[in-house]
Amino acid sequence: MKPLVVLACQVLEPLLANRVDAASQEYLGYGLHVRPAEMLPALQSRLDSLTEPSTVIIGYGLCGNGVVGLESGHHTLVLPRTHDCIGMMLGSMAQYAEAFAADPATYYLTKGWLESGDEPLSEYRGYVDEYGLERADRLIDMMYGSYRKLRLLAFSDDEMEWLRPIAAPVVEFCRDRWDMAYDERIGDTGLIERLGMADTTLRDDPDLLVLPPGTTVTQQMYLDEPAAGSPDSAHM
Amino acid sequence: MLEAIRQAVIEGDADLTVQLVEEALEAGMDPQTITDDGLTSGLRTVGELFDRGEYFVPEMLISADAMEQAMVIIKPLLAVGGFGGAGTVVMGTIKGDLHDIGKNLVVTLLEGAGFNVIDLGVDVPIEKYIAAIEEHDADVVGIGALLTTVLPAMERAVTEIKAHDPDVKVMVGGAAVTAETGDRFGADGYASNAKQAADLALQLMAG
Repeated sequence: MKPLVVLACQVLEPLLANRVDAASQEYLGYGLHVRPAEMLPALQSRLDSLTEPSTVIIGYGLCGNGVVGLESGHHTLVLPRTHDCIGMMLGSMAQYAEAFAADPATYYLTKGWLESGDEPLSEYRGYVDEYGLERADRLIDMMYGSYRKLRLLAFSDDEMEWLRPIAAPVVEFCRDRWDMAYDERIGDTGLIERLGMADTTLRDDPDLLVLPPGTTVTQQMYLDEPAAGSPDSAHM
Repeated sequence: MLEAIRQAVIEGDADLTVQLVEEALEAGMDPQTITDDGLTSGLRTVGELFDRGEYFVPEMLISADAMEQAMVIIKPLLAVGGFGGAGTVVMGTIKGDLHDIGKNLVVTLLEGAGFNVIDLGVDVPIEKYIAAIEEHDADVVGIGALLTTVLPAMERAVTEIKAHDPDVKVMVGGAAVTAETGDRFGADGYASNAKQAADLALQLMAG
């Protein structure tokens, strides 16, 4: 049995860390999300430094092509087949596609992104400090003015109750400024749970990629519709 | 003078940029020279600073804003000397994608390069690209995407536009797109940043 290793985004730590029984777990900073070009070298160098052939859970989506080009080397990789962490938190690519088709102009607020200050209000305050009020106003409108809806994502009613007041100032800011609508959604941890099991014999889960040694991650792996009757072809 | 305009764009000082451009025009300087060697050159430097990680999105937007404000004055003057002479480009982000920062930079640089740009904005359905290409007899269409989620829609757009009008050149770009994606979709070209997009449009026009 190969050792199990987790390399994932910090945003997944509270959802994944106690669901896996891994030899080691490392959660990388939120910053890679805004700088996808740094994601590949960050992940590859950590993979390459694992001398023992391992099963590695990569807790990243396609993330702006940040994982494209990742080479499994002598490891087996397990990745969620989603575009980003919102897809992971909604439970599947299909759920995300459905939500996206219904409301493409939706900005998701999650516990992780609220805590890291990656939301419009914190960003606006940062711009005011750095560039002054007038420029900050123009900048924030350019960055977020196209969104029509803010959606708070939590994993239980209790968590939603707890998150709601934390999100409230952001919700108010976005409503007052851009007339953004607001709604709430309970996420689905199913995909993250399956990811945590890292069952490398899985060949029929359309939401997971299991990459054997000597494989490179491509963008196409995320865009293919799982082929009916031959699910393997969608994975490899 | 041109160096001062360049620096004003790099610094993102819109008021100074506009003031210097007005002074240059009053001094009888050629509007296209002001655009090429002052404004566009400055914004290209900003793009390089961004690529090197020395500038971030806000700095780039502030600089683009400075150039856009100056272009408001320059464009009517360029028109006299044949503004849009480089060709007509239809631009927009593909349906589902509302992120227009990169697309707006491309529009600014295309205008600076002498293109007549029909900006369809964000969330553009395929039919709208095709209608605009026909209406404006466009030479090039630029399709942008930040989210990889919309790539299947981009692929359909490239295919349908090509089927409808084999002569129009299709370029794709934005953070969701790689050179490999562009090839796979059958686009005529791919650009990884705004200045490459403007250069690509000129290359596509040349043949």
